[in-house]
Amino acid sequence: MQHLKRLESIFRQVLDDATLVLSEDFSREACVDWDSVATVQIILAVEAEFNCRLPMELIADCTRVDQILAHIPSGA
Amino acid sequence: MPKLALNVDLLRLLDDGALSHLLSTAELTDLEQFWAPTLPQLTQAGARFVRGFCYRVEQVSAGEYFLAAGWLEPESSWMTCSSGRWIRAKLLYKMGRTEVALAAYMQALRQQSDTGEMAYEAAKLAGQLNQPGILRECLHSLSPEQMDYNVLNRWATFCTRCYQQHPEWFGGPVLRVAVLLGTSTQFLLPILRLVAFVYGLRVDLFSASGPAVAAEIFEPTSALYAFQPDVVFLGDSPRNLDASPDERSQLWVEQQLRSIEQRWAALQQNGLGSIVQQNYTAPPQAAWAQLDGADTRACGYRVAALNKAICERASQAGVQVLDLTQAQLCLQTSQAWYDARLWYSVKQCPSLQALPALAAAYVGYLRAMVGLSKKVLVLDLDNTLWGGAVSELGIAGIDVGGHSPQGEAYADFQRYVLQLKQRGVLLAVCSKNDEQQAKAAFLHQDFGGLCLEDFVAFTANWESKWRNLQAMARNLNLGLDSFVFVDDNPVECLEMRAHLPQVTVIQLPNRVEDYIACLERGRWFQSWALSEEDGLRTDRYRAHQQRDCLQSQAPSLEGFLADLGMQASCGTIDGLHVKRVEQLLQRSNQFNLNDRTWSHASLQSLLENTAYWTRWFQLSDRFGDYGLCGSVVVKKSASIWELEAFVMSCRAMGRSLELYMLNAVMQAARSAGAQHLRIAYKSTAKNEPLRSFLQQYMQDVSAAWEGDQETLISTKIDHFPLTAISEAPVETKN
Repeated sequence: MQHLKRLESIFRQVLDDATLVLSEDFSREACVDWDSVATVQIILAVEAEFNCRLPMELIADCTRVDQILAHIPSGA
Repeated sequence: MPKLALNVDLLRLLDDGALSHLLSTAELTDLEQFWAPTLPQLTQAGARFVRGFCYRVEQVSAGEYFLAAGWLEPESSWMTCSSGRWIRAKLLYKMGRTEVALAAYMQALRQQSDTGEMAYEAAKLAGQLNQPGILRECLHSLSPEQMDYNVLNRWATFCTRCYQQHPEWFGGPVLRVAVLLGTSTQFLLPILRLVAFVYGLRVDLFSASGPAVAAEIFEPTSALYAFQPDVVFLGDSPRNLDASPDERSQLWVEQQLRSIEQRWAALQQNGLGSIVQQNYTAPPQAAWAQLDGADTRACGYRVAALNKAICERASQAGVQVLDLTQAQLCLQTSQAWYDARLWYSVKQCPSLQALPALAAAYVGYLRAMVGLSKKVLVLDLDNTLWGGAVSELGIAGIDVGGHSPQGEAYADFQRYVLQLKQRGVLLAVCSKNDEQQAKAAFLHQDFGGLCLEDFVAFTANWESKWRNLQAMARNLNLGLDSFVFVDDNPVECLEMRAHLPQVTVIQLPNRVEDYIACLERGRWFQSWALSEEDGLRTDRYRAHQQRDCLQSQAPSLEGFLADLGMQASCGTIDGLHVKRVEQLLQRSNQFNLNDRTWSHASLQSLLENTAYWTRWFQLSDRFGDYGLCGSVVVKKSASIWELEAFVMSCRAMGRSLELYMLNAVMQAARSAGAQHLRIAYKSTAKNEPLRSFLQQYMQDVSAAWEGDQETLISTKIDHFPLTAISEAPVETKN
C-alpha cells in the first residue's frame, strides 16, 4: 500500500495531474497522457525513489501499475 | 523510539535529503520552535528540504501559525536564505494567497540561482494568474544545459500546454524545423521546443526516426516536403553504423558518406537548403581497446575518418556540420552520453541527461539562422580579464599570465576572447576604473593576450556602466540586443539588467577557471556561416570611428561625404560573394526589407537563375574598405521588377549607399523596359530606418507600411527622381 502511495506521487508528477488516483490495475488505456515517453520517465523516477533497478523490458512494455509494483523490492 | 534531540551543529552536517527525512516526523511544536528559526542557518538545504518542509507544514496544518507569527512577511529572517525565500513563496501559494506568492517567487528568483524547479513553480502560478510577462521572465531565467533533464521535461510539458492554449504568450520568430534521426526523436522534441522558448524562438517541429527517415527524404510527395521546413537536422548514432571488421576502411567510409550525401542531394533537389548534419560521437565501445582510434579496422578509427570526410564534403555541399563532441563537452561529470538500456528498449541515444545539451546545440543554429546571434562582447576588467583591481595593486600587482594558476586562467580567458575576435565578434571594455591605468595594463601584457587595438570601444570611468554601454551602442550604431555584457560583480549585473533589459548579461562564476565554460555555454556568438569578412570586422569598425571623428569636425554633411572620397563598386552575386551575402541577409536588421530567411541553397540557386537580377555592393573611402556591405535580389518579369531582398550593413549607414543601391535597381529596371517596381516589404521591430528611406522616394505610394504581414508595395519607376543620384557615392566599376 505504501508503495502504491509513493508511486502515485511519481505518476502525478510525470503526468502533471495533481488529482490522479492510482490503483494497481491502473493502465495506459485509462490515461491518454501515459505514452512511451512518460513510461520511461516513470520507470526512471521509480528507480530513483526506491533505489532499485528495474528490468529493461519494463521500459519498453510497461502498461500497468502492477507490473511496476511486482519489481519493487519489498523492503524498499 | 526515542526522539532525536535537534541540534543545529548536528543538522549542519546533514545533506538536503537527510534533512527532509528528519522533517517527515516533525510535530507542530518542532516546526514552530526549532525548524522555523533554524532555517537560515541550514545553508545546505535545497529543493528536497523545501518540499519536505512545506509538505509537513500542510500535514500538521501549521500554515496559519506561520502566517500569524510573521514568518511569511517580507522582513522575515527566512528572507536571508535561499531555501527560506522559496518556502515563503510556496507556503503563501498553498494558503491561497496567489498574488503575494507570485511576487514572493519573483523576488526569490531575482536574488538567487535556481535549478529550474522554483522557476517552474513560479511560472505555473504566473500562467494560472494570466501573467505571460512573468512567465516569460521565469522561462528566460533557465540555463538549459546545466539543468536536470527531469526538471526540464516538466517545464517542456507545461510550456507546450501553455503554447497550445495561449500561443500569443510566447514571442519571437517562428521556425519550421525538421528533425530526422536514426534514433528516437520523441524525447528530444519537447526539450528542443522548450530550449527554443528559453532563447526567444518558437519552433514548429516535424520528425522522423529510423527507417522512416529515408522514405521522407527520397519521396518528393512525402509529409516532410509538405511541411516545408526552414531547416533540417540530420543525424544518427554510431550504434546504428555497421561496424563489421573489414580491411577496407576507406571503402567503408566512402559507402557511409555516399548514403549521407544522397540525402543532402535529395533534400536540396526538393528545395530544402538549410541542412545541419550531426557528426558521429565516438562509439560507446572500443573492442580494439587502446588501438581503437589507431587501427583502421576499429570502429573508433572509422568513425573519426567518417567525421573528417563529412566535414570536407559538407563544406562543398553548403551543409552545416554540428559537432556533437562540443555538446558532449557541455555535460556535467554526472551525466553520461550513452545509456545502453534506453538504446535497447526505446532506441534512444544519447541518454536523457544529455538531451538538454543536444537541444541547446540545435537552438544555437536556429538563433544564428534568424539573426539572434550577438555581435559585441563587452568586458569588465578587474577580476574579469585579470585578477585584482589595477587601481589598488598597480600594473605590477594584477594577476594575469605569469606563474600563478589563477594568472594562467586569466591569461587563457583573454586568449579565448581573442579567438572570438578573430572570428568576427567585436570586443569592448566597460569598466569602473582610471582610464590611463586601465589602458596601461594592456601595454604591459606579454603572454599573447588582448591588446588595446583589439577593442572597438574602451570605456574606463566612474559612470554607471549601463550609461556607458548605451553610449557605446549609439557610437557603434548597433542595437542593444547585439550586446553581451560580462562582469564578475553581481551588483553591476543586476543594475545592467534593470536598466537595459535588451542587453544579455552574463555574471561570471566565482572561479576564474570556469569563465570560459560559462561564456561558451550560452552559444551567444554562433554564426550560420563564416566568411573572410569576419576576421576583418574589428578593423572596419575602427576605421568607422575615425570617420565619425572627422564628421564631428566637418562643417556640413555634404562636405564630410565629399571629404571621405567614397567609392562604390558592385556586381552580380556569384560564387565568390555568395557567402558574405548570405551572412548579410542574416545579420542585418535596420536595413532589411523583410524577415525572410535565405538558405545557402536558395541563394545558390539564384546564381544561375536568369529570372533574377542580383547585386552585391562594396564601399570604400580614404580610411579604408567597408567591405561587401549591401545586396539586392530582384525577380524580373517584363513589366514588373519585384524587390525580394534589399539589405545593407549598419556600418554603411549614413553614407548614401542605400540610395546608390536603389538607384542601381531603378536604372537596371528602366533599361530592361520595366514600368513598375514592387517591394516585398514587411515591417519588423527594427527596420524603421529602411522604411523612412524608401518612403522618401515613394511618396506616391500610400500602401500599408505598417502591419506584421509581408506586403507588396508597388511604385512607378518613372516617378523615381534621377537627380537624387548625385548624392550617392561615386561608382568605380561594374
